Parts: sequence; C-alpha cells; structure tokens
Amino acid sequence: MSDDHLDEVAAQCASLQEDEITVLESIYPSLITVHPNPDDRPGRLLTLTLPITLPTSHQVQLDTSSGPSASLGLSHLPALTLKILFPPAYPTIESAKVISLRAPLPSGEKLGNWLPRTKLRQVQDKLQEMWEEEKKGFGEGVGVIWKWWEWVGNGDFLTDLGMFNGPALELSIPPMLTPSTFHTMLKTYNASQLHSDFEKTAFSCSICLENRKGKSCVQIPGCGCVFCTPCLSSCWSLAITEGSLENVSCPSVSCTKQRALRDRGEQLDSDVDAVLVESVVGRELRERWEDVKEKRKAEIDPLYTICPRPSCQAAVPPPPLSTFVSFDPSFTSKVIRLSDLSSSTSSSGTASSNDIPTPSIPTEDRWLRHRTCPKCSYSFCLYCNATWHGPHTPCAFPQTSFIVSEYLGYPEGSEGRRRMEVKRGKANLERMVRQYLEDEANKSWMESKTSPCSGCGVRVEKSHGCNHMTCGRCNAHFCYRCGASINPKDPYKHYNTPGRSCFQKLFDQEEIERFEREANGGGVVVGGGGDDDWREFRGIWEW
Amino acid sequence: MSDARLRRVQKEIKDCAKDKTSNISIDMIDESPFHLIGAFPGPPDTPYEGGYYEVDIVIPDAYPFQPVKMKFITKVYHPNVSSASGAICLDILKDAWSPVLTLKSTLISLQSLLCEPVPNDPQDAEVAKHYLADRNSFNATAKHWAQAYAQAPAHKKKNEPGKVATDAEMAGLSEENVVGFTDMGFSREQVISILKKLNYRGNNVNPQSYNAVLEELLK
Repeated sequence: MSDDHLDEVAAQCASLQEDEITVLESIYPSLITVHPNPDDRPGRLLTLTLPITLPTSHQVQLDTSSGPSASLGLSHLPALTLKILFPPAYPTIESAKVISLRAPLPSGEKLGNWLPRTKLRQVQDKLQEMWEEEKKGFGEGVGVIWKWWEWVGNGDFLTDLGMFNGPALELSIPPMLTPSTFHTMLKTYNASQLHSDFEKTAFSCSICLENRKGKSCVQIPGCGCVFCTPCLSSCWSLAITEGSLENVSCPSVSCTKQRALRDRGEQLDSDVDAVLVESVVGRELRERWEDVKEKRKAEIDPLYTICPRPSCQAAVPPPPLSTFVSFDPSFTSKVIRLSDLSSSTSSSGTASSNDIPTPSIPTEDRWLRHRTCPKCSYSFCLYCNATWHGPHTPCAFPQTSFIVSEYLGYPEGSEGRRRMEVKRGKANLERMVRQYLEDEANKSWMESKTSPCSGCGVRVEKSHGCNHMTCGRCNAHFCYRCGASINPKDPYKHYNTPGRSCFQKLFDQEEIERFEREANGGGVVVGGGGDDDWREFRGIWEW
Repeated sequence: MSDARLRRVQKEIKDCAKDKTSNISIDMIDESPFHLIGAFPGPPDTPYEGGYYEVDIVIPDAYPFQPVKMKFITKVYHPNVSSASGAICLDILKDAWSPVLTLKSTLISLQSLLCEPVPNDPQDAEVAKHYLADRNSFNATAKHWAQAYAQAPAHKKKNEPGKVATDAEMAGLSEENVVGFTDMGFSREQVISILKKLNYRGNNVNPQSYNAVLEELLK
C-alpha cells in the first residue's frame, strides 16, 4: 500500500468517524463525551455511558454467598461506562479499542462495579469481536458503535453472558456492599429511571384534551391512567370540597363505572395514597380529604361516632377491641331507648353507687359508652354526648325533657311555674321550652315527611321520582313506600311481584299526575333522574 | 377553572364539527358556549329510525367535573325518557359520570339508549309499563311519535300514504278498546288518559282490568 493510499484511507476514516459521532450525539445527547484532541492527531477518544433498559421488567435474583437471596422486578439497570479509542484507521481497517469498561454503582464511583470483573472482561472481548464479525459480513470494516450500544443498551449482553437463570437475571452482590444496600440501590435507580422516562413522554390528557409532557402529568397507581396535574387537581379539589370522596380516584370512564358498582364502603378504598393526593391538591386539601374520609367511615360503621364538640367534629372510633369481647350488641346501639331514659330519670336526683338505674348492666359494659376523641381528646359519653360522667352516673340529659314537661304541666302564671322559675331561672326554662318544642316539631315533621334508610337509618325526604331509593350515605337500596330493603341486583322485583303491597307502586299516583301536569304545562325542567332526588337530614336524630 | 372549561367546550364543539362520520351535531343557541343544542339521527332498526332528535345541553360551572345536564327537546316515547319533560334516566348523567366523557360521547350514549331501553330503571313509568306489556304496540307508538315529533318519514304502508296517527295510536292504545268505552258516553280524552294510566293493552285487556277502568271512569 502506498502512502497516498494510506492518507486517503485515513481521510476517509476521519470523515466516517466524524459522521458516526455526530449521529450518536444526536440520538444520545449527554451520554457521549468526546475527549478533546488539542493537537488534532488522528483518532478520537470517547467516553460512552450506556444505560441498560430491558425490553420488559425482569425478575432479578441477588446471589449472596450465604443466606436467602432477595429478588425484585427491574426494567432498568445502572449504566456501563465505556472508554474507547478510535484508531486512525477505524472503521475501515481497524476496530475501535476498548480502553476501559466499568459498571459503576449509581450512588458512588468508589464503591466499585455492580458487575464482577470477569463479566466485564467478557463484555469487552465480545465488543472487540463484533467489529470482526461485521467486517466479515460487509467485506470491509464498518462503524460498530451503534451495534455495541444496542447489545449493551437493551440487555442482550446479559443473555449472551449466560446471566439468566430461566426468566430471572442473577446478579452477585458487589463485595463492598451488603445485600440490602445493593437491593435498595438497584430499586432506587430503577424507580428514578422509570420516573424520568415518564417525565419525558408526552401524554394526551383526556380531561382538557391537550397534549402534556409527563413532567406535568400524574399516573394513577393501579390502573395506570395518566392525566395532567392541573386537571386532576381541579377534579380532586372539587371532590374533596363537595365531599364526594369516592371521586378522589381515577376519573377515567371505566374506573368510574367500576366504582359506581361497588359498595359505598369499598368506594373509599381507592388506589391513591396521601402522598399522591398531597402532591396533586396540596397539604390543606389532603388533610381535609383524610378528615372527611375518616368521618365517612364513621358514618358507615355504626361503631364510630362523631365528636360532639362543634369545633372538632372528628370521627371517634370505638375503644380497642379487647373491651368488646363479652358484650351484648344491643348496648353498642346509638339509639337511646325510652326505657333507658325513664329508668335513669327516676333515679337522676339521687344518683349514688347503690342507686344504679339498671343494675343488670355490669360496670365494665357501661364503660363501653365512654369515648375519647382522637383529635381533641374530649372524653364523652356515647349516649348523651356530655362530658364523660363515669360508669355509675346515668346520663343527665333526659332531665331536660323531664323538667320541660313538668314546667309545661303547670298552667301559665301558676305557683308551680313560678317556683321552678326561681329555682332554675326563667330565661333558662324558656330556652329549654323553645328547644323542646322545636325538637318536637322537627320530630313530627321528620316522621310524617321522611323515611329512614333501611341500612343506616338516616332520614330521607323524596322530592320526586320513583320509590326505589339508594342511600347516598351507606349505599343501601330500599323502598320509600314501605321502608323494606331492596336487592340492588334486581331492585324492581319489589315492584313487579304481584301480591306484594308495593306491586306496581314504583311511581306513586301523584308522581304520575305530576308528569301529566308538566306535560300540559309545557314541560317544566326537572333535574336529574328518578333515584337521586332526595335530601338527607343529618345531625338531627343521629347519635 | 372556568378558563379550562371554556377551552374544553370550544374544543369539543370544534372537534364535533370536524367529525363527519358520527352524525352528531352540537350547535350554539346564542353566543354562550355553555347552553347548546345537540342532535343525532334515530338509530337504525329501531322505531326511532329516520327521526332527528334534539337535546338541550347545559354545561354546569364545574364541567367537566360535574355531569353535563341533558334533556330531550324532541318528544321521545321511551321508557328511560320522560314523555312529558324529556328528562333522561342514564347512569352517566348521574353517578357514573366521568370527566373523560365528552358532549359527543354522551350524545352517542343517548343514541344507544334509544337502541336499548332499560325498562327496569324507568324515567317514565307509563311508557315502561307499555314496553313490558306489549312490545309490538310499544314499537308502533314509538314510531308514531317519531313521525309526529321527530320528522321521521311516514311509513309507506299499503294504501295509506302519509296517514296521520290517531290520538289512540299516539297513546299506544287500540282504537277498538277506546271506542268500547267512548260508546258508553265517556269523553275520548278521559278514556285515553285512563287506559294509558292503567296500561290497558295486550294481555292487560281482561275482565278484571275492564272493571278497574270503569271504576276509574266513574270516579
């Protein structure tokens, strides 16, 4: 070969090298360092960082010389660092030379490699061979870096090195690390890569119908649906403010449908956790979300109650289970029975340890009425909501109705009334009477105009629509006419079975007449459908 | 938030105008993009075929996080649509609403509701009873309504071109049954209203229900 020819080859190679580097740099910006070549000598020195992304997530087995091996699922492995030299005659005549190959641990250069030296040596040898193989195929040497990149980058080298045991990749623990440190390190690296992959991907948010970078998106764990953070934030903020907590979850059509089919209690168990909620709606709404969720649980679970202090209103769980072992369920009921009231009223004046109203209840069972609010530490009686009066003292509240009925029993302006006014204060008595009359009016209105839910007992008033009701609080299905529970799987059977009292009474006559009136009156708009138009009266007769 | 709502609604209107295959239209009534009229053709192979159905659309303030309010403007004879007010009984307009649903996809759901009535979850009790009692007669009535209110072309039947449906047909009742009572001297309007209410059709026509009708007429 003449010198001229060699010069020509060198010039050609220099241009081919230049092209290869340009292409790689444009595909993998920031993963390639071209070392400076101040004297402009032929050949180039490069450092490549080759991150490893397995096509699918693989089980990774960590081999420890002794003891059980831990395993975890990974799709990203820490990058290999490859320092290479392009000799002047690369790629036509000579291969690129691997100067060093390292597998640095993501959290520290000094800790060594995550692949053992022997494996790295094998990788290096194989890389060198590849140029020869290509040369055989093409008849002359060609650029091989792309090929290297693929072989390392998608994890093929792990297969070629025989590091798979069945579907699981086996890695040995680097000598400098404990198995758990290595485990955590790999896991963290994998998670951060997944996260940055997500951030770089563009998603189409199906709420605002715009394209967004993953950086401003949220992926819902579980279903994997992606929405942009501003949309999800609006959605969840509204749900939290309005108290429709089941919507603090994935808003996609299929997930929403699935949720609507579940029981109300289960609807609160969504895939989102407090960290995610806080990152989307902020701390204040996250706290509110948790508070209301707890309270909602209390409404569904009859053993929970609500702290009676107006400024607190937190959900109060029942005392720890150990106290509940031997007890009669009737005593957990939050309903105050009339018999309880009258028996305690009769003895309320002179309550003492030998004058217990219902001696059949052992003291420890009466402790079951005791509740302590976890939020404000208020200690109170479950029955009367007053400050805890101990297991021996009966609830004081029935005195009110007792006093009021005694007071009202005397004619106006009578000596009896005056005596009571002197003893208890006229303003006090008047206030008590007002309260009593109002409660009575409420009670009779409630009884005449509302029906209790068959599940949780909350009073429900139907404004219009059919008689098949779905409780907004406990999700129970029931009949507004007769109060019976209805099977949600076939709710209309109740109205379609001849002989039943509610046969063909899905709609009341006045409802049908109302339809007709509207038809004649030109069609007044009525919101919503049949089942959802009811109002709930909370906090009046709830205990 | 209202900015996002406006952007999304405008986008939806534009996308729907571009889409020529779905046959769904969404138009503004005035300059407000939050009160719209949607329209779609009655689905083929149903009594509603050939009809053109208009739907009143009100976009709530919290849209798309609250369900859009829709009701039929065109009168429809369907168990899940109030024959009087046009109110619609459909899960996605209530608790199964998702912000991912759009005006177009909701209108498509309404269209498929016309294909598949859910008589067990009725909005209009009388229509649902009719549907369950006598399907053929129900279909005929629904077709009469489509012709009368939704501009469905009149069915070319033998030698009755462009025949207008009678009031009995519009109520899904047989002329014979109506005449049976009007001959006794009751007003036609009253007879139709009571027969409709008591679902006096198909298998329900029997001596027992006959007596119930008489009782009601004599009230």
